[in-house]
Amino acid sequence: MLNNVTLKTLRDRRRSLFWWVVGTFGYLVGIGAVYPIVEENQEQFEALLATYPEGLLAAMGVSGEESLFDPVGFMQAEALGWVVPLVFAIYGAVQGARAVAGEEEDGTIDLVMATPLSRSGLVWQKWLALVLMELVLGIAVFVSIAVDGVFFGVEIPLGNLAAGALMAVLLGVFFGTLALAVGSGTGLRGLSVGVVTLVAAGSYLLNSLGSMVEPLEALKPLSPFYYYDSSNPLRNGVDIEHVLILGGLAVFLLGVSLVAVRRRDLGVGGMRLPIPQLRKAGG
Amino acid sequence: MPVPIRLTGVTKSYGKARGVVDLDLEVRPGEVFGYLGPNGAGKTTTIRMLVDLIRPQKGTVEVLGGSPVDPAIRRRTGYLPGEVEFYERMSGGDFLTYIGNLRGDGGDELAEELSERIDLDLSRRISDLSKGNRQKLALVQALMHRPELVVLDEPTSGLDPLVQQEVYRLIDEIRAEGVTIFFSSHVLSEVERVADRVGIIREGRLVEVEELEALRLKAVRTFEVVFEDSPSISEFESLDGVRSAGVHGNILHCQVIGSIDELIKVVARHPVRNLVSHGADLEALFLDYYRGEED
Repeated sequence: MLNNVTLKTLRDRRRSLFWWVVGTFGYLVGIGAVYPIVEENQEQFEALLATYPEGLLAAMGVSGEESLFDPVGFMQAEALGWVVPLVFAIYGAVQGARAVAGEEEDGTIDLVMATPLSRSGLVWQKWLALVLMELVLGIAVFVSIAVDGVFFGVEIPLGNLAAGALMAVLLGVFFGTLALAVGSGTGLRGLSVGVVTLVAAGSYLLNSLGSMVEPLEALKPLSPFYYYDSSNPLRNGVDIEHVLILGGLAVFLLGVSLVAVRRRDLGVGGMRLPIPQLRKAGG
Repeated sequence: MPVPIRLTGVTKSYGKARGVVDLDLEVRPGEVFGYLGPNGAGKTTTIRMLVDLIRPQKGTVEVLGGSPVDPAIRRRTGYLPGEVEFYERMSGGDFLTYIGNLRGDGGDELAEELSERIDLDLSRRISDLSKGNRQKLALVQALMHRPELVVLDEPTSGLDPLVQQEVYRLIDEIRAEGVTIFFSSHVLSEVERVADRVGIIREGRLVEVEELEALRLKAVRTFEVVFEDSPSISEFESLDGVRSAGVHGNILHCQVIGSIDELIKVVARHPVRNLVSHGADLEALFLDYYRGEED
């Protein structure tokens, strides 16, 4: 497990990844266990939902035409509409920010980069680890909901389920690579997480508001969340175009990371400089 | 054999008063070069450029006949950072395995041999290691692949004297194997103990590069001469290199910089009962360099 940067990263993260998997599994199976109750009391829930404002429902990833009470609608509303993408984005942000910027802030990058390992080698190997870790989370989603199908009647065609999990993986990889790119360009872990938080929150809002507010509708394709589930993969299966766009954006950001890390000084000092300068300008 | 280190017109600055200015420096094959200067003078900046962690704004950095940007050059270089940070949760052995794998040449055998010799337990978690043992681990890491050039940033800083001695011994050993060593320090005695040649850096500028022996000649030596008679102060105070001369009765006290030839010849005109010379005080010389010539 110490043969290269990817394996070493997976080795370092194995424990925390295990708990992310446990959490994901616990949530999805817990939600699945509720499904029989919801299904049984569909009428009361429908009456309750009718009182919710449409905006709130949209923000929860529930669109007007979708049924909330068949397995796909239920899982979309309770998990893949918001909790799952949130988990994947946060996990990606944390891992992407740690990848290069984290090693810089910890100071461990000094000994690693004094070896013949190239800077681009470091970045793409870290990226590969990110993709694999998101993939593990994706498999956890797939397995959990498949388990829900067996035990709680949340039956979703496995192909569509795989499509839904794949989109979550791609979304996580996208945000993780965004964090990686910011970290590769600046060496600042906090900034990387901050940028991802801002972009994720903003684009999530854009995508959900776009469903209700006419003028924003046209802007929805600017949001990664649009490619994540606007094609409703749980119901319709994989949308190749959206896979390619989301995956392509991640690869593009990987390219940005590779270029950014080659162009600057590594380690303490260099990129911390702007902060004292800002402070000085401010005070 | 290529020139181990050649810096030409290297300028690197970040922030106020940090970095180096227009630095020219050449280190010869097989020598131990001591890079001496006070904290913040630019030593670490220079060293980090030698392993391509940072890059110069102007000038060229040449290491082992190539550029440190080239991974093949870094494979032949060993590096000990000034402040070493490890993956705390790994064992020392795992860490060395990882670094060896990144270099692509393992180096496990020498790593084990070195660790055994300097009494470093590789099975312990790095977070449990003392400062001295962490430094030993960092040294093993820097030496285990038999580099041609070793760059050490303040290798003994913060270590207890016993570990310091071990570090010196290791440096002596690899010097005997013909490895070129570039090490920084702000402690003169250490440089005196280890280096063949010294570069003194102050505020980012190289103010002196000299053989240690030649430097000693430049240093202040103190003489005390007891005469049979009582010579006049005027005989001594105007001599080349003599300063702060004083005669009390039949005893002369004076300090000399550089050649003592003139002083000895004048002293010899008188009957001399005793002559005591105190060794070259490099400390005073370095303090002069540190303060700057204008002082």
